[in-house]
Amino acid sequence: MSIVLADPDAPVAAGTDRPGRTGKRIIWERPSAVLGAAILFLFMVVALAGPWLQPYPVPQQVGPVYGPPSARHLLGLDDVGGDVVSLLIRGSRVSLLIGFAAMAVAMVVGTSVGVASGYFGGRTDAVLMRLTDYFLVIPYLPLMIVIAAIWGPSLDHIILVIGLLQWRWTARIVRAQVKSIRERVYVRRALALGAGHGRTVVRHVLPQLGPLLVSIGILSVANAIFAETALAFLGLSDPTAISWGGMIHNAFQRAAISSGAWWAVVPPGVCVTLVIAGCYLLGQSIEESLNPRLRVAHLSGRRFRIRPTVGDHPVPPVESQ
Amino acid sequence: MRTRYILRRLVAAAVTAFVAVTLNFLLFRAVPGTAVSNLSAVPDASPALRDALIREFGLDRPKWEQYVLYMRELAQGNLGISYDNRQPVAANLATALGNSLPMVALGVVFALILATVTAVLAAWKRRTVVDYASTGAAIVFSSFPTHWLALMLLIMFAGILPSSGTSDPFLINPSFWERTWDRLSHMALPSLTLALSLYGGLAVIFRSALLETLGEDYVLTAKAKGLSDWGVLRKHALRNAMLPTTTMIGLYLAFMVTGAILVETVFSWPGVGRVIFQAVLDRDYPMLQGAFLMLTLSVVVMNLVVDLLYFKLDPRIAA
Amino acid sequence: MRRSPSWRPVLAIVSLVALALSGCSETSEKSTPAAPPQGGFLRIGQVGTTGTLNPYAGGGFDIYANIFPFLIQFNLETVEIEPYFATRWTTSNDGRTWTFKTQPNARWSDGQPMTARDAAFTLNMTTRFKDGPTANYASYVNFLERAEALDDQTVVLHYDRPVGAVLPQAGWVRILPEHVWGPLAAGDGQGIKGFENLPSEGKPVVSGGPWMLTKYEKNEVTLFERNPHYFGPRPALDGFGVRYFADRDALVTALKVGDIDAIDGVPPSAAEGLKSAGFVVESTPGIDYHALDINPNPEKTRHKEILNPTVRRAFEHAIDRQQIAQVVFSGYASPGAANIPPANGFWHNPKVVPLPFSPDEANRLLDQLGFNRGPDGVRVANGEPMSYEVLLQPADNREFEILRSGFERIGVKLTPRPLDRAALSQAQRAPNGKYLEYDFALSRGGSGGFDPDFGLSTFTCEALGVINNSGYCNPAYDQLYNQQEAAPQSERVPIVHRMQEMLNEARARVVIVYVDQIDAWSKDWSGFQESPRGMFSTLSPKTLTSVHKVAK
Repeated sequence: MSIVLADPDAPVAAGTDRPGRTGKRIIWERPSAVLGAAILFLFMVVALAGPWLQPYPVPQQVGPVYGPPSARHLLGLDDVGGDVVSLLIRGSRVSLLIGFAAMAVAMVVGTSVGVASGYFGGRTDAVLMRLTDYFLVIPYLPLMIVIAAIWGPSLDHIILVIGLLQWRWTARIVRAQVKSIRERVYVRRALALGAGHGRTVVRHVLPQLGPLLVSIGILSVANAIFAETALAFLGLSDPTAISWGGMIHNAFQRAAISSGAWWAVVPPGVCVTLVIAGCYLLGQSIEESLNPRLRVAHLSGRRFRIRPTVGDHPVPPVESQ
Repeated sequence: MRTRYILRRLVAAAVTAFVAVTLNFLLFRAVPGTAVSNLSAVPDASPALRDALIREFGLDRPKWEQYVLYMRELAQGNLGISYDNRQPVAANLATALGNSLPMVALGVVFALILATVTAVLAAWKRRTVVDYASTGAAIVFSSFPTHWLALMLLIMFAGILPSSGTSDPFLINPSFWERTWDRLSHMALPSLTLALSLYGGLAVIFRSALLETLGEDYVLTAKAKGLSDWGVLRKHALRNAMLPTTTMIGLYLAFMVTGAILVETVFSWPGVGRVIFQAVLDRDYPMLQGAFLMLTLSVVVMNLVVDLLYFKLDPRIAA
Repeated sequence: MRRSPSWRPVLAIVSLVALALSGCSETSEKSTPAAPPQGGFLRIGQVGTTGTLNPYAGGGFDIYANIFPFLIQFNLETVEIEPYFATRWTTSNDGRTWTFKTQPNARWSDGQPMTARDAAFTLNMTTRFKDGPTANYASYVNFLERAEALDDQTVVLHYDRPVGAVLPQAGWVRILPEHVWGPLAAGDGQGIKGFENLPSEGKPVVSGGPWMLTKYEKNEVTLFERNPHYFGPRPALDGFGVRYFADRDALVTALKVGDIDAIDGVPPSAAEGLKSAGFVVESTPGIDYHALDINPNPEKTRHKEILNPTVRRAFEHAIDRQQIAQVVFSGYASPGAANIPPANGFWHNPKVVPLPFSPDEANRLLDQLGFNRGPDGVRVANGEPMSYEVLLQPADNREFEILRSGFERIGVKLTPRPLDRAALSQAQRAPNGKYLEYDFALSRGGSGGFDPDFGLSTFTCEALGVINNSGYCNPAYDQLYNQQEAAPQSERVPIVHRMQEMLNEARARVVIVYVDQIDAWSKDWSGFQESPRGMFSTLSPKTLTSVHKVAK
């Protein structure tokens, strides 16, 4: 239900020193990556072009409450007579906005904590990791429920809350990776030559994190959108904002199912699923491209290939699958 | 060596728990609105009632005094008295837990079975239609918002399986089998929802772990020696893939709580999730603190158990 | 599959009914059949929580009304006060002493005699501890010094000043059995609140009303059986059960698939669907309403222009009540203005009527005041744009939308601030119970019962910070409130009417719509007596006593 990467404490093999080229080629070869990216791209276009795409203004009433699907309203009407298709298009904005904004918050906080922790090690590491541990242990949805009750349901609050509770994953993953990067020969050499910490981090550590951050980021978006849907469903998000989660909430509150109005419930959920699945496919592909061992497991009798590995650097595949 | 590791983990867990308890307390005191803010919704409320409630709940005492009192009672095993029904929080939680646990346990077991089957199938028949189909299904199911999936199942099974409550309260003198069947049929949809929601993520991780193991050198050696694919899976991959997966299960506990809350809301299941939700609305601090404490502690304990299990499974871990 | 476990109880009931029917031939659908068929077990569903079984711990008001007697009750049609446990009453000339005669030969469900001593005991216990354990009934025993049982059928109430509203106050205290509660009231009374009062196997809660509680599962189900010792008219049903749902969809689905027989509180959007599915759906005008609170506090810090009565009139003209009733409540609500709804019968002041929805009139009024529109269309008053925050509960977002567009037409901008119930009342009183900050809030109110006393008390100065959410405080109003509390029943009505006029002019709480109570049941049942709070209700023990299965 929530997307989780593999063990956050295990460093992901970083591939070559310039992950860009090989990485990108590998990603685009995978159909799942392409599919994921296509879905996300489609939804982003819809979100941006929204106002010009939607057939009816929202949340205006354009027909009877829970009107069934018809030629004019392909997906029917909701609990106040608004056109579901238009609501979906408009809702994509809020849902995606929250997804990306919360991801940004999580990434900034998580990366900072992770870098500081992994890079400096020692006491900084211990303290920061204890902190993350506490956050990881507290059950996240009940905590969100309470916080939303404190601050009141508004979009900004929701973004902050989701973001601040997502950083724990990012921090741990980044930390593990930074730790391994820090031990690299060239980093040690730079420090020995007198480079400042700041410079070292910016010039040597961060670029190596690049692809990992991208993949974490994309998966964070998925988690954030899921969290927004859950919070909206429980009535803790801004009730006047039109979002996919809000649509499901309204339908649930206003007895859509028992009125037979499945069209008020099914479409928003389908959209959320597609976006989350798209994020997942894309993010997972990136992560797999970073971990060549996963690609090496072609051990069926017919397609047997030995892939030698040399230290940290696997030799690129002789034959691609 | 071993005892030191165990000891360190225990201490870490204890400290985490203590900090979590304190944070809980502070969090609920920071929430606007108190147990007496809702009086306008209470029939027959009056200024006298408000004063009496404030005195009774100690809301007029300074925060630190309330904290000390709370910690002292906690040490004695007393979780306080719920504002809602004036009964001990521990008793209320026990009832709620008794309702949540069977449903969640059934869901988790089912999820584990589904995840294992999917992962093994996918790893065994990797890069074939079976792999793509089962992994694809796992991804799709893990992408469904849990509450929405619950609603879908509700729509699909309306009239076939009961859609709310733990049992039919109007059964008169049911026999043992009737009652058991009744309870199981009520548990079916919520547990199924939870299972379908959880299995996807687990399946993908397990599959990755399996594939990763299959890429190891010693597996190549085994294959060279003539061991079949299935043999490899059985003898080496599965056992070694258990390691990271076990860690994952531990971390999944937080997600289980989330899923449980959403499922309980849709299916009117009187479990811990609903109790928490109602307690937030009522600003029933003692209940909230008690519930959070219970959840936090159980996650700490489960993580501890997983850590220790991990240690047992992988003897390479020493210090 | 799912059906099979339910066959047996249905079979049992049907055979019971068949047996009972073998002597009857009445098949009337009206609520007063000559000889209703006996028997049957009705399964009711509703959204909500059970509450506790202890009236002093609170919450289970519907339950108490069905199992504990009061001194008086209300006629469901005329709203007049009728005898219940008290058969007749008299007042002394100075209005300070009330004498009640109670039912002879009454018994509790466990067979123990129910006498005036139980009434005296309950009232005394409530009075004695009203600063502590029994504080939630403090407002019922205002000014009561003591209750004295002269004999088994006479109880005398001594007040320290003339009180006219004794019947809706003391007369409405749930009478408890002394032989159960006596030991709890000993000493400082600390044992009172913690008493769970749970039924156990074979031993129902000791009850005095038409029903006794045989089973209680918190927030899941409560089961009631006919009280064999009830002194009033014998209910037709053998018993009934109430099942508590967390959401409305599950509730409506349960009725449709036959898991329950009736719903108390149908969500408006499901009503039509139930009708077409063949269920009986009935709505009654309710005693609750939705309203818009406009801060009346003259000391408020910002936006003093909303204190102007003309501005308030303009605001009321911008509220499209019809639209709200249609869209938000699917027509199951009626526009109104008086703070005591028409469902309260003669207490409602019919002269207090809502201003029509007229953005033109509102614009005219605001133009006259010189509040001209700025470049963005929002009017400016005293240098500040007329842009306000509206506090609301998330469930009221649909209402807010309609208000927002209405106010937009008159050049006023509304922004929502959703908060949950507890945070909302805190925000309305901010800071610290001074009511200085809020401008608008979407609220709910009502008369609180058949007698308007409680509803009126929510506007007194004394209730500020407690149950007064709007912040209205007017000494002249308080004076009237005290007058109606002291006056005898017949003289209260004109005072109550005048109070409604006052509230209407102040527009601190502008009523939007009175919400209907909608109940539904399967065609197999009839005899329901509608009440503004539904069939399983706090208002009257009579609602279920005539319910019976329709003979086929």
